[in-house]
Amino acid sequence: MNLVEGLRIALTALAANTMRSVLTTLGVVIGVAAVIAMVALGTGAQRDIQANIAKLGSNLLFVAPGQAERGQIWRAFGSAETLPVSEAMRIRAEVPEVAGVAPELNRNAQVKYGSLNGDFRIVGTLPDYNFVRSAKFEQGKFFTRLDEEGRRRVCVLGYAVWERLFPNGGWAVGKRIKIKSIPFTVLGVLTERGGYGREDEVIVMPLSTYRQRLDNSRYVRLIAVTAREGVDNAAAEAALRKWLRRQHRLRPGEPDDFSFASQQDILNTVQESSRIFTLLLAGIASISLVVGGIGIMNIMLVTVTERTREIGIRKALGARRRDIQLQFLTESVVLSVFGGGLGVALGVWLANLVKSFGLNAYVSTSSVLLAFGCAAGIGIFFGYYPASQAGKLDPIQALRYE
Amino acid sequence: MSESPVTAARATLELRGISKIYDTGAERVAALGGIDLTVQRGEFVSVMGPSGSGKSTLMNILGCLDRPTDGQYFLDGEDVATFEDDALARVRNRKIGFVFQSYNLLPRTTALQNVTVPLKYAGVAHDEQLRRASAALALVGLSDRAHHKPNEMSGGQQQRVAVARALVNNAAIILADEPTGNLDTRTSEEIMGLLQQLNDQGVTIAMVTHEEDIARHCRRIVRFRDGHIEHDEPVGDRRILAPRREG
Repeated sequence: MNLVEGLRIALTALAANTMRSVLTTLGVVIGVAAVIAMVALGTGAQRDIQANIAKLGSNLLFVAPGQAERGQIWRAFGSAETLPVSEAMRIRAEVPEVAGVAPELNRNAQVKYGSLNGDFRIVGTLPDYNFVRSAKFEQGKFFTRLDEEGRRRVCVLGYAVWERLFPNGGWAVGKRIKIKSIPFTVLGVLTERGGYGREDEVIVMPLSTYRQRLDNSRYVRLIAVTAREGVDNAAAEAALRKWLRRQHRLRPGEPDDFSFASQQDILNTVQESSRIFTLLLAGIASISLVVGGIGIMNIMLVTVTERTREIGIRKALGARRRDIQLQFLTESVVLSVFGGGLGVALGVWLANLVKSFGLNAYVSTSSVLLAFGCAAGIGIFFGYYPASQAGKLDPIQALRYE
Repeated sequence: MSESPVTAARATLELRGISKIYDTGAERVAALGGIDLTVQRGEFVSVMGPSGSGKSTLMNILGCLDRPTDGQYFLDGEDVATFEDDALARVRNRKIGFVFQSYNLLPRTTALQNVTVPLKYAGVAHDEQLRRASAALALVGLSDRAHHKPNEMSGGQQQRVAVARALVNNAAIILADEPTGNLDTRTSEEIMGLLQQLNDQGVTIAMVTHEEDIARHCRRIVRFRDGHIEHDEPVGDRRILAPRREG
């Protein structure tokens, strides 16, 4: 008996019990749909993060005081006091591999505009911040060297701050806001960065102003650096490390008292965690796929019992054990593949539904193939036992079965 | 195919010292105790006997549904007594046509599709299956019921579909197990008439029955008692039915 013949028999048998067949596949439909929708959600989040990080600039390098273990790059970021402001100011002049230097001091402060207020992170930095961080502007522009030298009370608002203080999307440039009751003139509004890290809830001002008005700290929390054009990140990092070690009078063999994090490191960490997130979602979803498979096995066992007499007849008419096995295996695979197909459709629909709620979801071809393949595999795996039970039936007993 | 020199004659089936012993652990029950039986090509044999006489066991062995404990069974020249399951399935498919008391058609499946089932397992091409099944249905006079399902047909019609199914593979022998057991007298005679008609055309038939009236339609009666053949004789006053169709 060939495969076409087997399919014909399977379809006839399944069509004879349409309602039951549909209900049986429901488990697989839901399982496959869940896997596809969940993976789409995870992949969407991953892509969001990647896009956001890419927006920050690709040749960006961060130096933070203190040493962090690999893989835990954020732990000691900014907590130690080993990078003086004065040293950070000299990097650009003394390390030729580096093009832009934006040391950052920051603290949170109460901000007011009219009757509206909020608590935001205030960052003091140099004008280089503008191109080191590839800033883009919703309104206005960044502060200049003159603002820095003149310690002017000017600032640039992050997108979320602007939204909060100017809820109707009003023009902020030239307006005066109060930070710890000190009036500052708004020079510009940054575009939305989105994503993680609350990058939008920030107010940026000249470093000199920050130190005079808000926090006279001598040590920076972070230095953002870009490599000069034509110099790759690794070379810039090596040059800067060498220079910093000399400044700190570290002997060979002594560990660095500062640490580097490149854009790539951060990307990797975030990627890794979102990948685990995606796997977790897929794992939970695939449980329902397995449950669906058990449903198929259950119904196939019932079917085999119900059709014992049919099996007896077929055996009497010349069906071998293998023919009977194949017949029932084909039925369970047809069920699961059919369910897989419906599940893919439902999963894609769900992913689009999620998208319409504003979350990013991305249905990858590989997740569709994987979920569909799993469904077919489940049909074989959970169909095998009932099919072999059917094949094993003794024709005489089976013919007598009422 | 290994033609045995002893059975090179026209015997369709030949049993030599066939016994079947059921070992229940506590006791050994001999359902058949060394049977010798030969059925020639073109014969129409009826097997009779009270229940428990071993005739069902004999039919299972003749039908290659069961293996004897001991002895040789030559079917169309092959000793099938020692065949493995798959080989037995092949023998059932190619050499034996079954007609059961309860018809045993596949439910929710048309008459035509039911008749094609043996051909499916024989690997016959789809078009050829339909052609041969239609021919077999025509032979039993059911061409106009080809697309009816079993539950849309009378008992006699269902049994005729079963006979068509038994014929479709050009089996060496048709084994009928109480073929009229579920039918009224008139319909029983129709089926017996059909079997006689087929036998006249050269089909070998072995049939189990416990009705003397039915057995009288055959050419020879083999009577069983306690796992042994008690009598084996031709039918003296054979009843010949003119073939006719169901109204």
